[in-house]
Amino acid sequence: MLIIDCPFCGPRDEREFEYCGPYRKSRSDNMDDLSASDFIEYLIVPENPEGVGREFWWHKRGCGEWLLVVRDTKTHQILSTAEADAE
Amino acid sequence: MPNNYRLATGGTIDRKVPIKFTFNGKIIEGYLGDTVASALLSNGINTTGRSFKYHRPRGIISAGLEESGTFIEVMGKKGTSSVPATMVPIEEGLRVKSINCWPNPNVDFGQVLQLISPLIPSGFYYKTFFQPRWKTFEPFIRKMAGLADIPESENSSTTYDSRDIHCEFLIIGGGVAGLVAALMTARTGKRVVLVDNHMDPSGNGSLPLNESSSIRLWVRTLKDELNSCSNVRILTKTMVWGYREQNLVLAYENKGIGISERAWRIRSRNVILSTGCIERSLVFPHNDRPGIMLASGLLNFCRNYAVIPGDRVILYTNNSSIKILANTLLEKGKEIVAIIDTREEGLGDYTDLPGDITIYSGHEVNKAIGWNRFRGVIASPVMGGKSVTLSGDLLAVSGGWNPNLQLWIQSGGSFSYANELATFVPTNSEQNVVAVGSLAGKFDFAEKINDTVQKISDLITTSGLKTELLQVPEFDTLEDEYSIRPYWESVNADAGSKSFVDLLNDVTLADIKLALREGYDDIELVKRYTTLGMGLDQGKTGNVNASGIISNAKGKTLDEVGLIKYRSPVSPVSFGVLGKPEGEIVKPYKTTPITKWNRENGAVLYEAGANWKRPGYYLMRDESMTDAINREALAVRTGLAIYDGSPLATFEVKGKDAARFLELIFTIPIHDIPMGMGRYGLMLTEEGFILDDGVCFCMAENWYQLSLSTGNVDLVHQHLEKHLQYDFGHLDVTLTNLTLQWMNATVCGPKARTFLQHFTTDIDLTPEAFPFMGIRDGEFNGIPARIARVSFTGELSFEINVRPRDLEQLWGILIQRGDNYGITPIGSETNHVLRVEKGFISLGHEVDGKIDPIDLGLGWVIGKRKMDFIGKRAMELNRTSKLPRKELVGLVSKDPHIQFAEGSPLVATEDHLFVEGHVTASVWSEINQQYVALALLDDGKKRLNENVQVRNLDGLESGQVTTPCFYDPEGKKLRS
Repeated sequence: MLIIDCPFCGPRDEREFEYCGPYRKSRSDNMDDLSASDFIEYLIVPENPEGVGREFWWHKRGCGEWLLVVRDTKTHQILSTAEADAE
Repeated sequence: MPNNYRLATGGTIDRKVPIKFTFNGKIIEGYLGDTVASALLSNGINTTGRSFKYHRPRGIISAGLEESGTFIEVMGKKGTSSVPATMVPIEEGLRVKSINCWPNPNVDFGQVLQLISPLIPSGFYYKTFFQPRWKTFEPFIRKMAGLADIPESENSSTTYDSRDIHCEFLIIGGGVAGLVAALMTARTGKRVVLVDNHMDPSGNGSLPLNESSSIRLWVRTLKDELNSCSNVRILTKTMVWGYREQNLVLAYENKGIGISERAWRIRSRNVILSTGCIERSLVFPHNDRPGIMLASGLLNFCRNYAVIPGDRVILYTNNSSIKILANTLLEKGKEIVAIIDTREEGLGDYTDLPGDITIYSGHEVNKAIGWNRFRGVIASPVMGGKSVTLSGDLLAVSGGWNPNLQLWIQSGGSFSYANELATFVPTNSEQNVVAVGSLAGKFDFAEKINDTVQKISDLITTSGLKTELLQVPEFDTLEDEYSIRPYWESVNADAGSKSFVDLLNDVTLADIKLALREGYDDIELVKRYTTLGMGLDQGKTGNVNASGIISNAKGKTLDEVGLIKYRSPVSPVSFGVLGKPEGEIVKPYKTTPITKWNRENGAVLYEAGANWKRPGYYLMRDESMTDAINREALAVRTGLAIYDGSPLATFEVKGKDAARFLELIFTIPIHDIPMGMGRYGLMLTEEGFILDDGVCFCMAENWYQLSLSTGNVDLVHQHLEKHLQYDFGHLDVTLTNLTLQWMNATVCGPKARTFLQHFTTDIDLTPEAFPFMGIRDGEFNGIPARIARVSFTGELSFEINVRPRDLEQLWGILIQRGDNYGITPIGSETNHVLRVEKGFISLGHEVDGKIDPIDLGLGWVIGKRKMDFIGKRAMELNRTSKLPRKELVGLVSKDPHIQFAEGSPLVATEDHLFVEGHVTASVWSEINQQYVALALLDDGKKRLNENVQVRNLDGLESGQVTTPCFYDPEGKKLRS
């Protein structure tokens, strides 16, 4: 089990959080402008690296913030946690 | 003749307290302080189990956790299975049995397997029992494959508990290095936890030392000071079985049969591993015979339990550590027949042993003699030459010492082969962990202590704390320097006999060589092919030998070969402590304020989604479940009924962009929902499938309330938060989950309005003022209420939402005043019947993750003019395929009393080959006096009135396709 350093609440046990899948680009303002292949890319091709990857965690039983966590999937080391902002 | 192998004096057992227990139904006597293993050995019981694959007789190999010979099942209410016999203390009335033999270890029918053992080499099961043959043999193999039976008692009466603990320093292992580390860190005043497997941290190192009073005295002072530190917590009889990321350590406390077992999750800033060493065996033919033990095991039985289970002992070694055992045996008056040392003359120095002992230097054991009991060995010079036969009744073997790397490797630490120790030692750590003591490869006592002191002071200093010097005295006797020459296998071994590398899983030298010949030359592949090191003991005594054998065979260095990756658990852990029993403390159910009333009024409570407990139906007098549901359903259709709809998911969405946000979330248009009205809609996932359905009410400008399914609330909440916080973070919206803030009593049935009009309320309930899908705030009988006209039953329905504290009062008054109307409380089973009659969809029944709104005939809830909503693009993309889609239909039989079983496939042809759909729900409709069903069927909407074949449990039934609605298709009733 991980300790996740919530930028709002400090280090907390994994049980307070909900894993919400790998990082995905934020949704386009108009889906119809995307080409079919870009849309499918957005929809079903998530990052899945062996090593350092970005993923979403929701501090459900804490402050409720949606977080972007950078974690090494080989060592479980968490390199950073931040509020997930759409770019 | 009880205790005839017990020495007259010595040991830590209490001879004044004899204890009786049963082993395989036989009464055995031992003393307080004995383990099952020591008590059996003291009674001369040598054959204590049978092996996993070949059912060979096995004895007790060691005195500790590394046991690979005998695992037992503890029987009875507080039973447990698959525990090493060496770890179970005896107590009065204890009943244990060996696993993997029938009827008992001496007469085991499974041993016929040995006769066919040439036919079952490693990989036999993979090569032979693929489908369909596997099915024929599976029951037979399951019975023979040797693990414990399912415990005889259905529910264990042992209680289980789990604890979390945090500390600055965690020390694992209470040997002498562990005690030094614990005391040094304790003196910093920080939180320290010491975990040890025994009743009391022994302070004994793993490597045998001559009895030394100065060391014992010093260890006592360490322990005394440690016990007086208030910042130190000592967990005894606790086994650390897992080492996870970020220094999370999992431990299992088991103080004895029937005492509450406990799971510990320990999170420590620094971990100090002092897990010591484990002696390994030597690989030679028949090295598994009962009566062959590890030298350290025998020494341990002798010192702690005063048991030496033999009179004429042969010692077999490749290293210097066996001399202490030799000395001890001689002191106790036992005869040493011979010492066989694989090292050539001059490497092993036995000159200082008293008496005249035959030493066979440069010799190896070609074969052990005996079947149920070790009787002797045939030995010959390593370089070839005349063999010699020696007879004895006990063989003590030492193949050298391995640092116990299990937890180190689990923590991610690396290791390398140390030539002078002929074993693997820890090198670089991955986490905040230090290895000390003999685990770190420090086998010499003085060196071990100095190294530990040095490492711990460094650790304390790097932690920014002050270290206090630990006084280490001079010790009186110190041992010879440890010396070893590895001897991985007998070179002149008897060809036809099995040499075991992994006793527990019956993996032989030949198996490993077969795996190598067949191309499995990586050690991890050898493990998978042969099951080497996969057993309950995780290969504690065998794995390093396997590395040595592979290194020899492949001509690779041991560093190239490496070591099988140890996995957790280190030793078996009970399921109870891992899983914890299902119960209200561990998994609390949510209940509504009228649960007490429900229980008192015949409700049968179900778990109904999202951990809610709610009534399934209410039993009156001696009704059956079917009677109850029919009675309740009829009340809704013809009279007046009431149910507790509190678990429904409720969200509030507010803010100036609330409508914009909800337009993206729902399939329906939101902006034109009139104030005080709601609209039924669907939420899709971005992949275009249905996530949930529900009603969106407009309470006021920029203020919406969502009423959604009970069961999916967590997933929906996550979905909403994700889009709100991440994708649409620029929108000005706040989302609040109000599921537990609004409770409701839903009054339904044709008489609902007339009934409610008897109460004082400032809400006009007339159809003109309060139409279907309306929502009104006001007071109802003096209680602040929010009433919604939604209907999940297809009848006129008023959902009266109140604060949780008011529900009991509201419910009470409705029931009391409704008596004249025959008001009937109904449960979720009845709700299910009513929704099927109406063809309303239900998540998990009609919605299965592949279905889109159009399939369900819900095309009308998709806003045609909407530019975008979540799932729109994907749904359109999915629909470009021309393959038939499963569409929702109704299904009835000509015979109203024939029911199609829920889940039954619909088949197109008599030969069943092509499945074109399935029954999603099927109920008895009391109002229609027939069974009705909903189904998903290929191109169903085009196939009205066609006949389809339903493959029911007892054969094919013909069904007629109808529209998916069996009651009030125009919806006049619910709008009335």
